[in-house]
Amino acid sequence: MIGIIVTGHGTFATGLTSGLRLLAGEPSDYEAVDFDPEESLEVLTEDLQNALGRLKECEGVLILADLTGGSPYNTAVRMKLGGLDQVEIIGGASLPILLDAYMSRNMISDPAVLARTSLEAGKSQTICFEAPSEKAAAEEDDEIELDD
Amino acid sequence: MAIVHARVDERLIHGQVAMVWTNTVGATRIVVVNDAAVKDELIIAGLKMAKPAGVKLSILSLKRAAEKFKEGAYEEDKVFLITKSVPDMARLVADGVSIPLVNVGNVAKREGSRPIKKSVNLTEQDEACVKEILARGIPVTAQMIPNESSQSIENYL
Repeated sequence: MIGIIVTGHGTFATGLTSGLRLLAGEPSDYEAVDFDPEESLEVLTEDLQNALGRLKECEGVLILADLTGGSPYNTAVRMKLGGLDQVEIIGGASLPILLDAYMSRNMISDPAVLARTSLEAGKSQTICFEAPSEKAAAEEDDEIELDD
Repeated sequence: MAIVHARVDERLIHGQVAMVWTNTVGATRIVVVNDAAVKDELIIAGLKMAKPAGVKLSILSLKRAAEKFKEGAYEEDKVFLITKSVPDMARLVADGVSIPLVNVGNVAKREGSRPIKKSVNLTEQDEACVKEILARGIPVTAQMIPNESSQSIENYL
């Protein structure tokens, strides 16, 4: 099993986790690491290291950080560059990415593959709503059947 | 293959159902059976939008659904059947649709209902329907999400 760590500013990580819990139940092999901006980077680094330590039985770890370039992301990246090759990091974490990763890890054992597939799934679900055009509706016909 | 999972869910297709259950039961088609939905453009549009990518969707009335299933229309698919209420599910069972298991996942509080567990509130009529389904030898569970216990709903009644 690939472990998952969600980390972000404020209570982003525990908030995203409450969403995941509602959709998929109490997660296992999973850690949420909040970053309180009052805290130092040392504390954040230690919290992330402790989370990785609790996932040491996992075959690898996927870290989802809220903001690319933010402190949680940068800290995770520094830790990876420090020599963690079975750790992958995604910046711009969202519930669609997390949910996809959480469910796909039953079938995927390579953290790099899991990172790519859940990132793609999350991107495809990050959208601006558009009322379906008639053309799109026609294309859907083979997939959607209405009562006749 | 036909029906692999049948769920009673008042919200029909939503996050849990679309992402988690469809994936867990390996469905290739979601069949929503609801007499009001087939006549309501807004509900239809909502269901289309909520449908996960790569999964087919049918929205049918109770009558048409029973006909379709009995014709063997979905033999090629792994169908995830969803109704909004327990009586609708019981009606499909009574009409001879072959359903391996019924999961009462999400039924909101109403006048005359009582909570049997979190997210499942049943009226006396609902309970009678559950017992009717059980009496036909079909297991009935009450799981909001897949990793909740799959014990029989009888244990909650």
